[in-house]
Amino acid sequence: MSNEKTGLSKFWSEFTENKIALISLLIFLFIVFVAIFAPIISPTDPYDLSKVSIMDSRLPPLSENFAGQTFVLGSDGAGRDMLSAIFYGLRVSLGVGVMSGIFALIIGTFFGISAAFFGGKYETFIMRVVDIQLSFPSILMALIILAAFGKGVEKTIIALVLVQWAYYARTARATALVERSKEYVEAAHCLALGNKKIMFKHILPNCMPPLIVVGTLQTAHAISLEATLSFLGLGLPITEPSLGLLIGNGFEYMHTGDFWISIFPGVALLITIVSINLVGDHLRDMFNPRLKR
Amino acid sequence: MSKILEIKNISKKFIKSIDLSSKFINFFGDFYREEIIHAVDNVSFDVMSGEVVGVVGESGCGKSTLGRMVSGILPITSGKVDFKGEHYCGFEGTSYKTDINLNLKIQMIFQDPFSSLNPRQKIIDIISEAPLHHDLITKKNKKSFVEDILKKVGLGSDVIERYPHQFSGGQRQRIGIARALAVSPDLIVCDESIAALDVSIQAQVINLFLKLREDFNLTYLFISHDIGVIQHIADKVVVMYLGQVVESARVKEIFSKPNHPYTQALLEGVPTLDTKRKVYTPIRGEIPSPLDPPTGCYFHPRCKFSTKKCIEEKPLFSEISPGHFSACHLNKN
Amino acid sequence: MDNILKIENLKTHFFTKNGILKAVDDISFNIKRGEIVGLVGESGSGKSITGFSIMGLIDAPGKIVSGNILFNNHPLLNYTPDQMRNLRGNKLAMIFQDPMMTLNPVLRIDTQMIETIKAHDKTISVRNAFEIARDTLGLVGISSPEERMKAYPHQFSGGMRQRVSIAIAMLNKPDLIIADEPTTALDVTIQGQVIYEMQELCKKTGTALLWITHDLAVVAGIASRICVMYAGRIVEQGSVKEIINNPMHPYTIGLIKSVPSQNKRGEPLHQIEGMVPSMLNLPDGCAFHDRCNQATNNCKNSRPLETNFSKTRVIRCFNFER
Repeated sequence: MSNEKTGLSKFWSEFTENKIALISLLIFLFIVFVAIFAPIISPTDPYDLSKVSIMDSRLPPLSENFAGQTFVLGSDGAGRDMLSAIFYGLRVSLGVGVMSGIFALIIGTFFGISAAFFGGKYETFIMRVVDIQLSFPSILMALIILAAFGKGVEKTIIALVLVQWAYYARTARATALVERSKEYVEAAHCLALGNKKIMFKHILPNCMPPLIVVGTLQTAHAISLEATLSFLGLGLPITEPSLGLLIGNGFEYMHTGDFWISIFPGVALLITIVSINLVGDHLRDMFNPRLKR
Repeated sequence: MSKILEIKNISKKFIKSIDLSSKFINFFGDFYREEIIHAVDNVSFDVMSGEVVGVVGESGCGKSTLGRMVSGILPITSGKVDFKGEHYCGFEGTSYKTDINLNLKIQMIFQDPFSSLNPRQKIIDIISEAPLHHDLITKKNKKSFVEDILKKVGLGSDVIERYPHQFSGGQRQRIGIARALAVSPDLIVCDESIAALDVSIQAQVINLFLKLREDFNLTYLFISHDIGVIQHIADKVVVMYLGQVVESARVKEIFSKPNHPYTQALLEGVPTLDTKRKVYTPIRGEIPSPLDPPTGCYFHPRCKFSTKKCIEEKPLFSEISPGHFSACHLNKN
Repeated sequence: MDNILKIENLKTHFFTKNGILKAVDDISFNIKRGEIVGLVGESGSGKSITGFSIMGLIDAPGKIVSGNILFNNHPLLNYTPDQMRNLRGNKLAMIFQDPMMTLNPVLRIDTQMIETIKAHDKTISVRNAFEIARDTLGLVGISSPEERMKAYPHQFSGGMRQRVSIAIAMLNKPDLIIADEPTTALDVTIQGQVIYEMQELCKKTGTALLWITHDLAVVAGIASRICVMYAGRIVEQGSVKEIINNPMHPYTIGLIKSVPSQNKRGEPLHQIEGMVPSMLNLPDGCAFHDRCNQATNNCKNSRPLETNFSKTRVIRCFNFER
């Protein structure tokens, strides 16, 4: 019996070998922290209409407003502190991105694994739906869905789920097919454990690694997709601005040189997506040689 | 001795049907045909209680498919299998085993120690999952039950909280055996269960099989390509070629008086520790593809003795002496 | 007859983050011209790594730490990568267990064979190379080679592919072929054919052969000498007759005794207790001591050196049976 590290500790030591991934993970965790604690750590509440004054609008970074507060990143067209707006925006962006990712994961994995397990016409049907959906650009699909549904946080999440589940389904089916032909699944059949148990206790846990990779990369994709939709004015309402909306709102001021209203939320979005992608990339590299075994 | 397993004319067909686009193209001519592989073709034999029946053959002979049909993993296309006199068929519709009482009685031990255990399950769960699922044990006595079984296969109880990747091939096979024993089977199908193990470990596992047979009154269907092992442990031997049984007899009989030319070639071709260089004329030709088997007797293209009849007519599987069956036209006289 | 291959005190170690894996730990043996030598050992014994070491195919984190490999009296360990490349596939060839390690699935057989010939003879014409390839295929028992050469590897069966690999190894008339478990993946009847053919081939062309396998029986019929490896060391060497009929090292004795044909039917097989030790954690003394029924305290603490029991017999043990 080997005394090698098992499970989580081995995973962690392998993961931290890549310093870039480690730093990205830390940055991402910091962003999550900010998103969760935004109301507490923001210098102001940018959506408290009583505190926001049009007199403070379009102040450049590091300037003070009449009340003596320093707007570190400047203020936007309505007089809101950019830093606080970004914190709140991160909250919405991340929330919508992660929520839609989780739901898409659950739905996609369910269909993918059941398709691989049962095969036959059921599998063919599901995979054709997946193929058709994946042949549409995700932006187009999301636009069509939101044009039909209208604005709103839940509607945006639904649209993002509908766009993303197919990626998860395809990945889940591919790994489930590999696992299904392995002998431990045959043993489970031999021991008459029942289809449900075999699918969810045996096949599913062994499909997780590639799904986690898809999950991280897809979450980044969802966040960026939502930002695009908000930038175009669809999806999220003005009362729950995400980073995309902030960028969109600030766009008109770019011509007059008030760059900070658009650029800073853009940078925040960029850092978020890049850090998630780097973590996801490293996870994918970590899992690959093992899969070959 | 009673018959524990009666295999009656079972067959397994794998059909690769033509898809929609190929059906369309077929309008213009006979381009695509349905591909049928007769992996197992009309196989019949009996297994007596307490016996070890060895099934030998090379790739494409269908022995692994046979093993999976008997243990209920693969559906049977036609024919039936009786277990202790009761009807027992692999499946009904698309679900696998349905009659719990009967179906746990036949278990299987697999070839690859690395993929036959769920890498994400602890040993204690691997072994106790099925008995718990079928209410053979309770959660309370799970630990003692597992420790007990592990002892019987020669493993200590310190393994229960560990994962498969921490063990060697031989140990994993023992865990697989423990998993099968946990549901108290009467018959165990061993599908090349020692092929992937080192030589020095093979002896250990073979000895374990023999010991367990005595302790638990087991019957084995031992599928292997290793003639030496079969000679040592089998009571009866069934020789398969391209999905069909070509010869079956008691072990002494088949090794001293092999009848079918394929059996003779097989036994002759096995490398032994005999250092005297023998004059060896190897059998010619390749094993034909199961998609396109030869006409008549499947073995005729490679057989030294083939006649015109062998090319045209399929030989009958008939008894040439008590308990010794063979499918060869040369026996007619 | 002089030696085509002389290995002296070879050590190949792998420097992993879990520790140093001593895959090959001080082995020495020779192969004469035209001789067939069997290198027998189980998984983890280091036999395949020995083959790779000779071919110069050891990559990081592995490294040949010390020792000498003399091929035709040339010291291979001093060769530059270019010199090794000239040698490989030319005078020194290797055959693997899986023929798809030799064959490129997207190229036709004739393309691959002609490529092998032209790599070592830039002046030869394609037509001539084709003829050599065709003749060599005929030599390994492939009927109508001219037509079959146009096929792709996947159109051949396993046995045929292995024959093609052997043909490719023989194309440039090597002095030594290293065969790493060449018949293990083949069916019994095909294995018999290939063993027989390789034996005849080597006799005809005078090529020496190092047959690496875990199956003593396979080399019993074909080799003239056997080296038995365990945990990176050669524990016993000698002529085939000596090793099989009169084994002296406890491991060899155990190995032979545990073969089913050497046991009485119905009796439990003789078994070697315990397991092969992890290569990361080899014991100080003799690697076999914890499984040996003849082990003494001495065996636990110090490593036995090689004893030349006779002119042909070498054994590494303190307590071998005389």
